[in-house]
Amino acid sequence: MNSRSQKFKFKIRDFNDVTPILIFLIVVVFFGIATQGRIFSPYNIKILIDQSVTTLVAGMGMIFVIALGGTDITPGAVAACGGFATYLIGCKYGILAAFAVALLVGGATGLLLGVVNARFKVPSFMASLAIGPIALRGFANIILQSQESEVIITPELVSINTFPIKLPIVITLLIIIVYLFHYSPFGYYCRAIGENESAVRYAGVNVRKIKILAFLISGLMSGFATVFMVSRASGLQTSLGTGFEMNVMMAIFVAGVPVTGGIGAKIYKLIVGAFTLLILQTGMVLCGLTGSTIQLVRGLVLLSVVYLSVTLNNKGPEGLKNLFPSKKKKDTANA
Amino acid sequence: MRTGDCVLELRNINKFFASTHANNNISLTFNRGEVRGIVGENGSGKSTLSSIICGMQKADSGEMFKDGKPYAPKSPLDAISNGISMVVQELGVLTQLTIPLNIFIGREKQFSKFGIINTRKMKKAAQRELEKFGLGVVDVDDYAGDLSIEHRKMVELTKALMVDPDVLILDEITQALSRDNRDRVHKVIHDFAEKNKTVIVITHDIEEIVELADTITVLRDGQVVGTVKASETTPDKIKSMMIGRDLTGNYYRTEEEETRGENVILSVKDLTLPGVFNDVSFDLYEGEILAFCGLSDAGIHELGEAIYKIGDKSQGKVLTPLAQKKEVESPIDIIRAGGAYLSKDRDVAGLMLQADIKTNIAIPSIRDLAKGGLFVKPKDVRKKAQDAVDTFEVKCTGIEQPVMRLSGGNKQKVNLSRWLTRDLKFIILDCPTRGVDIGVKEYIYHVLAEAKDKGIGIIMITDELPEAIGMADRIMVMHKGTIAKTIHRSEGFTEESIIEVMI
Repeated sequence: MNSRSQKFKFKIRDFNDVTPILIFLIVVVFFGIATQGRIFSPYNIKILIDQSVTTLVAGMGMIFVIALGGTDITPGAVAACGGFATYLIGCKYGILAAFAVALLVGGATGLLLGVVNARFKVPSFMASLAIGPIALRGFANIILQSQESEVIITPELVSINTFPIKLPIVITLLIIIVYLFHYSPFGYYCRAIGENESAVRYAGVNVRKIKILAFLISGLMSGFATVFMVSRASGLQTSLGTGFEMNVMMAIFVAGVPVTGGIGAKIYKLIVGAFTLLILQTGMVLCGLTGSTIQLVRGLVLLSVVYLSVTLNNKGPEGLKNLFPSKKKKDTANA
Repeated sequence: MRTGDCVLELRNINKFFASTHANNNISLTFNRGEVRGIVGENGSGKSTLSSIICGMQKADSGEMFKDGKPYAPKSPLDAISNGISMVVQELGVLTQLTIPLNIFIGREKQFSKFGIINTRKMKKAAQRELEKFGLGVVDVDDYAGDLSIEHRKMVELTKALMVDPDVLILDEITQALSRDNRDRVHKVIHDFAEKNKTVIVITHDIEEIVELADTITVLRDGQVVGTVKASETTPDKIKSMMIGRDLTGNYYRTEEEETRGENVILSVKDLTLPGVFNDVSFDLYEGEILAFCGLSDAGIHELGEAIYKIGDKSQGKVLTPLAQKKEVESPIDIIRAGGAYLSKDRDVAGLMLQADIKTNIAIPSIRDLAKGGLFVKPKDVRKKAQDAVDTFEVKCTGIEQPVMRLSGGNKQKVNLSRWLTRDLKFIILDCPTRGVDIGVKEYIYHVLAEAKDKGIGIIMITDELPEAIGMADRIMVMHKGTIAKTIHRSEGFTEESIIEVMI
């Protein structure tokens, strides 16, 4: 009806795409100054990349599920359960076997979750809560607690945690995922389902199949992340992967991927988000803050970023003015 | 006009949205006992005007007078207390609540004792209200979310009538209503006006408003073009007032003979959807337009979905004789056979409203756009979308614009273009011109005639008889789930002969 506001909306959409990068830059500059540059020492950079790997890899799978409007909170439990399987098989038969068995655990979990969600229509949050943190982790705890001696993995498996082995794998995975997500019909369908599932169904797409595949990919990527996690920890504990899925979700959402999914989901946002969080965390550690304070700040940052992106998405340019709604403004909004 | 007492007066109303002058110096008077139609193309300012009258927006300048006293509503609630009530175009029902709660929300106190609501009493009262206005076709035990759009409108209308306003504003109320429910609403409007009250009807349907209203105000580009007596005008005169030029003439087909190709392109055999329709069989030929008409319980819309095999409850066969795979088992088979289906419910089962035009156009064709079925080049997607937007003359700022920012007509153009830019053999269209203005309607008919000439078979399911009569080669009239009569164009279509079978 009025072209001016259309253009405005247009700008805001673009703005919403650059918000994550802006926030990233703010965090970088802030901690660059606050730590007097220490955070960008070669050693710290190496640590940052090293730490980002598990989150990135699991996120590259989870983003398919989030794009279509679902939730997958199994990665942490897959890590616990798959981690034990990796230890059992990997220590005996080597690296390839370790990956194979972790992928099997992750893939099977994803497939089950996909079928339960798509075929039997159980909301993915509930289904993955039941399958992951409750069932799988419980299972892992029982097995691990029955182990008498300390669980330590072989040097061969630990060697996965070196850049020459780790980086090529992660980069290959990244290329495959970027292709699948942004350049394959499957990726388009995932994002379209997040926009309007029924419209995609009416466009003649087998939505059920797409959903199951998305959960499968998410599970497989959790499998990859598991191996990296185990090799990095060089041993197993019952707490392996606790809260892992929350880190992954934070990385995805902090960079403005809509919680409801859709075409706003993008891989670069995950990468930017993961590093934003890590720099935030590492920076705070270097500044001498304690664990619980860090947790609190992370939570506040996520809350404000998600609020910002939701407001921008819903209300467009007017949203900015209403970021802190006063009583009076609220009245006109209702009217 | 029944009487002449002025109930509501607008003086020099102006409203701007950024640079757009949505309402330009509008002055109007509304009289008691009058049914007033307000018509205009999309973007002519009629919805803005009604939202100002009912307090949803404030005018930038100008005054209003209700019964001679200054009237400046702060909110819809304020408008209601001043005796002005409205049924909005975007439906306002609360889907998670039952119908009685929907009707009495905000007024539930009358049923409560010690803070507990007597739902049984409320239900009875709701039933009574619905019946009082002759809209008792709705089952009050349902949740509003389970109702069809038609029944939701009945609930909304009851809610608006219940406060017994002096002025009732109806925004696109009969859009999407089938003939029988439309008649019910018309009766409500007439009864209401008989009580010396005023009804303002905002609509796209010119034929309807000429019959229904006493007077009609035409808006164009935010200005009043004129107000005329319905008895002294014709739909064509109104239409040329709306678009500011004479219509190019007849936008329907002019020939009186049916034409079609030799080959059967889609064959439906004994298709049954239990409880909705039974044993429907017919063949669709190349280059044929086959229209389906019927009342709301006739099953015409469900038939369209069943042919597309969406949902798996229907029995019977749908065949595509020219395709490699003959029997249709799922929507994908229809699409592979060169078919397409356009739902009546564009915003739910058609478009992704928040996504951009590009994505919307690309999704049905993404498999074909992928090189070797694997790689989708963003450039190809953009080209496909740009071509579709250019061919269908979609008014937009660019293919990145979100679809929800488009007018209804342009949304429908996007919706149609997604399919018609494909290499089609046949298409099933459920109410293709619903909620679009005349300019776009004319355009759609033109596109359909072109598609027919190219040999595309078209099934057109429609609630509008003039459309079926104007475009079809064959009309199948359905009555309570069976095909009651088939009429050929050469036999001559008349509204009477169709309605006779429908009822």
